[in-house]
Amino acid sequence: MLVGVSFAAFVLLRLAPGGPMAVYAQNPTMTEADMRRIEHILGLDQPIHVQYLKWASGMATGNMGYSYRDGRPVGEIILERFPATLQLMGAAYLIAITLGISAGIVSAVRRHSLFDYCATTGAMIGLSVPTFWFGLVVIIVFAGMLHWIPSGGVATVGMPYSLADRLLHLIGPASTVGLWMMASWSRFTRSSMLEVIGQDFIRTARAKGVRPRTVLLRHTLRNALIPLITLAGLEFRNLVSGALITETVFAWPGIGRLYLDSLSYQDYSVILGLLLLTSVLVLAGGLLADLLYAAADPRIRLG
Amino acid sequence: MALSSARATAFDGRDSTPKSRRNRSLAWAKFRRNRLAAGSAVLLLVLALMAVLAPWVATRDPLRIDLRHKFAAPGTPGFVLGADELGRDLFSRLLHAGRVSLAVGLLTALIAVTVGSILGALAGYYSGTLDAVIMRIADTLLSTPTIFVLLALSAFLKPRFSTIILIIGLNSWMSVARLVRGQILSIKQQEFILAARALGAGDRRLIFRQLLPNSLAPVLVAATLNVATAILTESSLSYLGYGIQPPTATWGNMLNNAQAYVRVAPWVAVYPGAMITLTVLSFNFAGDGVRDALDPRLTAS
Repeated sequence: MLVGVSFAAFVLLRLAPGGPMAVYAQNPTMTEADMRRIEHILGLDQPIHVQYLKWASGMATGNMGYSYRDGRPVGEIILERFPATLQLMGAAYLIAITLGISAGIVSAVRRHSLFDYCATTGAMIGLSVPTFWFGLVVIIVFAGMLHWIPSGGVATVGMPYSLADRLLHLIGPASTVGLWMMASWSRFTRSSMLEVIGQDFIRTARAKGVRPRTVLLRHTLRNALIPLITLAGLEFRNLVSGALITETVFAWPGIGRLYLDSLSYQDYSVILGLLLLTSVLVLAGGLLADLLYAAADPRIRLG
Repeated sequence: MALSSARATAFDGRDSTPKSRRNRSLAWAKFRRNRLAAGSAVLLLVLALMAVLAPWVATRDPLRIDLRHKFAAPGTPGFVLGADELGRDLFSRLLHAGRVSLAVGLLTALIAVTVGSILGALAGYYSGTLDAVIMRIADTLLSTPTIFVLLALSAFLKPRFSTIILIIGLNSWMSVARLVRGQILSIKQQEFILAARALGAGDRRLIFRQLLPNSLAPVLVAATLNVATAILTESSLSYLGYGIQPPTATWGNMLNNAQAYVRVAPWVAVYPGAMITLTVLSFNFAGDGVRDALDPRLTAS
């Protein structure tokens, strides 16, 4: 599947206008012969499948190619930006899982209560708000009006490293990325809990006189959370997209911003590397979820 | 509903038998009783009406630049909702942008549902190699992070109204295809299909006359939710500058510059996003309402 993704991306980017030769073409002292020579050195005069094979074999040995913009290795550029994105996604996951699941549990237990109505409506709103706009509103309200958080960046410029400062910078973007996930987590937790509560073994446990608290935590919650593992894998795709948008709003120096910058510079080798990296992330998320699912639910055993 | 009307269809080959009609009015009654869904539907009608009538409701040209009224506050005479950085009337821009955003949402969903239904039907009906190929393509597309792919495509295809609709549509048929495939796999085992085949119905007739119409209910729900996602996706692309280009206003690209002025004129950033949220929310609630109304197993949870 990765081969499919990478080949399609590769062909598309080669056919696209611009690219390395466009940069050289702007130089007035370049002659036609010089252009051909550079094209030959870069290997751009070869048929596309040969180019792809070369790139793919480089990929297999960890060489992702070189940036057209500044000639640095693509792997190095991406690695420089990747930790910021991972940090953002990790924090978003943490917020979404803790708040989303707890809201879902309370909603399910106190079904049709005021809290339930607020939470389900809130979750629906959370699913409908465009990420970038929510980020803007967070900036307007919490940074512009209340001055609680800074309006962007990873850390205060010129300040020595401080954990508190970093966390303060993280909370805005992380909750922006996490909002969408939080909403879907609470919806799924609620409906999954309600489904389990309706089953016979819960009634049996209650009839046997197990304390309500134990029934809730031990019997209901544990079974209700299993299907959520799949969701966690599927969410990865949206998480990566959400991170890209949020990084733009909050000037967060992660791979999303790098991707947009590379697009505007037509820096294809970086674009290609990032497309591949994010696809790997999404696939790995799905695979991990499948494995965890098999481990958590003894009824399912993969081949 | 899908089941019983399927049975009814089997007897006389037409869809509008008394039984399915009764189910339909039952579903309609259920939908109306769901206040959130009904309210959303009304709101969507109003939005659609405003979009259609935009040139008559908002008479001021949305592109007219008037620097004397730069950042006019909401309520300034002549500017109900204020003006943006070039003194353009926000109310008028919002309505005209709504036309574009709604059109993108609806057309994109149309593409996604059409492509998804046909591919899903083919995959479900002719299982085997064709099924495997179609589903692998869907899996591949589902494993790429949407916004990254759309940005790359849009950057190279010169973002225009038609290309934006095409690339979003062709990137969101997968869930519909999976849904339809599952439906068809289960429906094609039923007796009325066997009966139709015994009567001499060919493959094409079976797929388009029997199988697809009978899996319509979940597709309708998916279509509604698809409009919501499409509007969100288009607005994100436009916000990042890779969607529909100015001067044509969409709710997304109205926010493109707004961030620079949040301190001076926060309302410029607030309205378009509020419109997106309201519209998407309505589509989501309506979609949920349609699902609850059509699916007898789900009693309002």
